[in-house]
Amino acid sequence: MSDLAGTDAVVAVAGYWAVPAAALVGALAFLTASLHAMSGSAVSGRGRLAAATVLVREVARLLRQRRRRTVAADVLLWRFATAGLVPLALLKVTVIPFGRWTLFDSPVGVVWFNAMDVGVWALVWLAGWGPNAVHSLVGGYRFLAQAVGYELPLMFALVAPPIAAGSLRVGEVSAAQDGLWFVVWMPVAFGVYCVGVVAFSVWGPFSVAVGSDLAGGVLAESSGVDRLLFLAGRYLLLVAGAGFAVPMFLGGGAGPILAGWVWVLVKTMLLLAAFVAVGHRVPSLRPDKFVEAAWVVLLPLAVAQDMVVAVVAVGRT
Amino acid sequence: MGLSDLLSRAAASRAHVLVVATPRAFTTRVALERALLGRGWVQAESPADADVLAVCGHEHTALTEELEAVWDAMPGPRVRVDVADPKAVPAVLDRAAEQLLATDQHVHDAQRRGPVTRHMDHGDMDHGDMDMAPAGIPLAEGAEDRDGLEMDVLHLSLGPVLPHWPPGLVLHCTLHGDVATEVQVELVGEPTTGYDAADTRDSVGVVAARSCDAVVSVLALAGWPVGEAVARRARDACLDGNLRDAAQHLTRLRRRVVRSWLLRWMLRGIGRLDHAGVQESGAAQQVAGDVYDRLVALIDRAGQGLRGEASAAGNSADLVAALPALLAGSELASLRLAVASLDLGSALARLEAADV
Repeated sequence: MSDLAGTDAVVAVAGYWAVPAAALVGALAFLTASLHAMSGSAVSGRGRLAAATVLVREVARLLRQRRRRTVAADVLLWRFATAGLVPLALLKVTVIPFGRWTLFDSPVGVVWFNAMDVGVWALVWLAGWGPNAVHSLVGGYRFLAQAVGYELPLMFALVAPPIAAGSLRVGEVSAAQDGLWFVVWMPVAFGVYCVGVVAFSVWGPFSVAVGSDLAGGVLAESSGVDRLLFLAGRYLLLVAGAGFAVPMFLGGGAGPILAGWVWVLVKTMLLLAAFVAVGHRVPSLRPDKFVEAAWVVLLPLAVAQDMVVAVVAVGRT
Repeated sequence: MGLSDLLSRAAASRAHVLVVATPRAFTTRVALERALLGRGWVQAESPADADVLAVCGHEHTALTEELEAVWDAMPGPRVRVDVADPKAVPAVLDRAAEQLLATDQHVHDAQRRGPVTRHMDHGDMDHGDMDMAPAGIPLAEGAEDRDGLEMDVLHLSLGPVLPHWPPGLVLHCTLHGDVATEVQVELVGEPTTGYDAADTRDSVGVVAARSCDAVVSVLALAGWPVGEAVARRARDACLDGNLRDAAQHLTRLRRRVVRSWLLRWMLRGIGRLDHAGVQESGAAQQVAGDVYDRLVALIDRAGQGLRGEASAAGNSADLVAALPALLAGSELASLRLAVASLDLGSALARLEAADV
């Protein structure tokens, strides 16, 4: 095995591969949205319409709909924010090793992912700020309150795998799980990470920023292609979050028989299915209550997990 | 042309409908909601989200200005329809679908009005003299909030066109951040002639359906789609006269609600309305406890309604009059949940029945 060690390393591919990669991520997002629509019609007892066509028709509707501007809106920041989630999610994906290949083999890939994640704060807040309207502004505030809750536990959860691997390079974190996936001996970090992903994707129980009680919150004034981009960005963030969990906790491309990249896809999709299942079934978490639980329960748990991982890592060397 | 035609057809088959509930049009509104969801359409959450504006009931002259503002805020392609009674629903939705496909008219409409710019929030801002007023809107003033922090003071009118909101109710709120420090009540849109027959001599099913509908609103605002769907089924079964099915759905719903510790955690302690001001108002009995207590009570009341046991209805006028005291100091989400849990739709219906 030792003479093959060199092939374990992840290879950074040429830049033009970003195009098929983005298409693949888009396809996964489409699949996730379809799955969500399907579970929605199962919940409401209306299974007459195939979920995939619902999505196509919804996209057609938003493409046909006119864009809106509100009085004295901050149009530049508003449009920047609603359109920004899509590229941000794609930037997150660049550091994920797809089998042996990656787009961006950064020595600090984990930090890169987390930095992009903080970008979500700015974009969702600005999307709420831009229209100069009360409901969307309150939605923006809500997201910030929620972010104060999930971000620190998420950061500490992301710290655990690099400690064990001794590297912030995502490929090396993935390779360090030789035989024993990190999810097995750092389940708390994995759980907290998943909460963070659902939260930064403004998804399911963490979608209060776009909640019905705010008439759509951040999205209350958006229509047409602006709305479409924001909604697409949400799904892409969910895909990016699920995809990043694979090298961090789920052994990367490790698995029997199938090629590494197939395993990455399979694991990502399984995690996405779990996120979708949460979507309709869990009530919204109000930020004021969630923040309390996040700081009193999740944060100490994540730190304790880091300590355990650090002790084990020191013991090994 | 073929492609854009295809796009239009796909888009029109997924219309989002902003349902405007007016007083005494309960059965009409529910019939409309059911029919549009049955077509695979969606209930819009705001004017920006809507393709179709559907106004329920016979008389909505008092809402003319409000509806005009909503119409202006809709992006387009846009269609407005009036739904007089439950029987009219299928034909009205067919017509809406047809009008959505009239692309030439929508293009004309778009060219005529230019960029869509209006929105409703600032409609009734009243700041008096202000030096700074970009685009005619005065800048928000600052004031100290309950924690002594300087926050922008915003004015927001909730209702009458708002999903999961009692028909005919408008709350003029003064917000510090997202906390309503002052609330004023206004009742609009009371019909002068004509009414929804089923609403004035409510049958057993309709009485129970009203309670179920309040449950639908609470659970929708709490962001719990699974529970909301069961409550909808219970409501629809009540109106269809399938009282046995309705009772089963309600039992299932109650079990799910009681079992969900997350829901209890979220709803416990908010909208607690047993402070002194409320005790004096005479509305205390029916609003006791917090949103969670009232949610469970609503489900129980729906069950009692099905069995024909009339629950003691308090004085509706008292309840409406007590709203400012009840709601002042609530954060926006709590306020919405509190209003929904008070089942004001039923209260307002009783109020009107007393007027006749």
